[in-house]
Amino acid sequence: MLLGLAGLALAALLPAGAPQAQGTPKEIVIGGTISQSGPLQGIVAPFVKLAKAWEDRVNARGGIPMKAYGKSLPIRFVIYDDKSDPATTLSFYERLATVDKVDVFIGPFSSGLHNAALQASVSHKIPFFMVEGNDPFLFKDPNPWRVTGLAPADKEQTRMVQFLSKLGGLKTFAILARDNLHEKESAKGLAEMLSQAGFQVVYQETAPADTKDFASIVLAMKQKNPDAVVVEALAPPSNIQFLKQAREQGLNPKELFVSHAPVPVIKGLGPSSENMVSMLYSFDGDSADHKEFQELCKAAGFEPWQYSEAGIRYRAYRRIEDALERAGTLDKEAVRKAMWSTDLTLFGEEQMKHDATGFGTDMPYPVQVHDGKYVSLWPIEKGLKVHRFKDGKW
Amino acid sequence: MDGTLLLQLTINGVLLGGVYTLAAFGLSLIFGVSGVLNLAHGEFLMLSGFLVFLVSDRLGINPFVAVALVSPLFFAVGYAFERLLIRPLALRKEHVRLASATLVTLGAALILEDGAAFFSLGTEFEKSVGYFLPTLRLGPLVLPSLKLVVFGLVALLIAGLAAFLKYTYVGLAVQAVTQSPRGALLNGVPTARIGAVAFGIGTFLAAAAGGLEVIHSYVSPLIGLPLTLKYLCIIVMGGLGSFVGVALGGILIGLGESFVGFLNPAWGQTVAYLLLVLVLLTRPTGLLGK
Repeated sequence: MLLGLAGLALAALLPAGAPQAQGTPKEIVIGGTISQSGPLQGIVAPFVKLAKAWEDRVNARGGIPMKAYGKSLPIRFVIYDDKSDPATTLSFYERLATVDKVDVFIGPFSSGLHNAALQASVSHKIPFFMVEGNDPFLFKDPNPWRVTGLAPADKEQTRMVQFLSKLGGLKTFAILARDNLHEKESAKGLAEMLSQAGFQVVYQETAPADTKDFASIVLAMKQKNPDAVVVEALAPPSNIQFLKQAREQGLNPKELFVSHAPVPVIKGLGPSSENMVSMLYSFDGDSADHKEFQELCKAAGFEPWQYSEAGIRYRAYRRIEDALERAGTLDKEAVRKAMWSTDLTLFGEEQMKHDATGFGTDMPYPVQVHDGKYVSLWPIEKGLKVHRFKDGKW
Repeated sequence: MDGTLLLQLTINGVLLGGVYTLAAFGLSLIFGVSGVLNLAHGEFLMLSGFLVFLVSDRLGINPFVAVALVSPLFFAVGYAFERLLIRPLALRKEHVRLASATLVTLGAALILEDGAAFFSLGTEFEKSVGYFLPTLRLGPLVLPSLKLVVFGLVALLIAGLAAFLKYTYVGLAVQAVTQSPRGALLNGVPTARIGAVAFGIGTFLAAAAGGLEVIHSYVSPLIGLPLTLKYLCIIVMGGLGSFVGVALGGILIGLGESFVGFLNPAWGQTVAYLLLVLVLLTRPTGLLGK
């Protein structure tokens, strides 16, 4: 008993991480959470398999070269189910830091869960790659331990506005956002960018997150007779319900853009989803990155178009791998610095950078439902040929 | 606001309120007979919605037929729920029984919610049947046809329930227990069994509402408790024990949500609770309560 107590006291006096610094690590441990239950699971649940597929891929080619140790190290993911809940998320990131002793944090889904996870990153000083969190409040305070791959939420629809500007035929827009931080920010940015591009926003409202009846909102939109209707809803079911009622109430816009519309939305609308425009963090192409991304998705059991956020995850894996390789060590300060100074080019045209606050450059691409699945509207020249107006046809 | 718009908002509000009314009737019936506030009521609605989706999706049958197949099964679920979880509390002191029963139903609600989330059929958390009917137009007015059909079915079910309560022995016994459990017992009514039957009927109504919900809207594991709260609002506003009051409460809330939602969507969902407070301040027993 006394010996045990003495041991505990000695352990408490030793600086954290001291034993690791003395030996060569056997592996690189990357830890995070992904919602396997709760309302966010529909958007990200299969990304556990996506991470495993990437782990297998990296390890099959011998791991990541680490100069400081004179060899390559295999990677290992530790991923927990955060139940789409901030408190659960924080407790798991604490566990990842203290029990699993991860070298790098990889983020969960949504800004709300990132906010919870950030606390663990700061208190344990673990480099944190925030995969799917891009709202300004996360970057309000300077914090050297975190970066995100994503551009700020209010710039999220940049490519969509670029596409619409080239498309022509649309003048007036109605925008509905669900009342949460990310959607409001994204909708606000979209409205600003549309106005700057010469479009007119004739209706812009926010509906409470638990709204189940949109008939009155649809009616208010109809009064404005917009050419295009935009629904900024992060996850079903709000968008499913809105679209069902829009159809039923005879809201027949020339263009319909539903910004976060995973497969359940297409299923819930059936053939009425045809020609609905949405967004995906990937586009068709034949670069080596496109091929690798497609193979990863296949290994995870889905097609790239089925999970719009899969592309963000792929970019995150690549950025983390690149940062670790450039750092050449698992020293947390070195890894952190390497994360900030990324300079990768992916998918043939995307240059990965971070600004001074930690925001990245990843933005989604426009897609459209054709025959019950998304097809890419990018590059713009190709998209203009493929795009079809909804023209009020449900 | 012009006349057409006013009429359109009124139509939308009445249809919405009518849909709310069906499940609220079930909750009112259970409360009237057993005095138990069944907080798991919305969970049965949610479970039925999931089942209707499954039956319709996997077997490829019309979702309305799926509702007709699935919802009667929930009579047995409600009956068993009362026998297994509520009846054992019957011999406790009145205030202990009511508090315990409410807590038991709350516990059941949370278990059902978590269970549904856990077994939510893969990665698609929300279920909605992609079923539409052509929109009807009456001059400048739009009649949402699917909601109209749902409203019609709700009206039919409520009329059937009213006839059942008025013309059958069990229905009359339900009314007798609602008015005076002790009096009914003294007249030979098997009050315990009637309590279970009321739970069964109430749960069947919730299940029918859930089936219709997945057709014109959606279901997800988390919709149960918020819906139960809204139904509670409706029956308290209408007057506890008054079926006409429930209908009136449902329609009023539907109208409130329709008009307020048009003017400012942010307040559309809050209006039910504001109306409840307003009614209770002026008529503490509800609109038609005694």
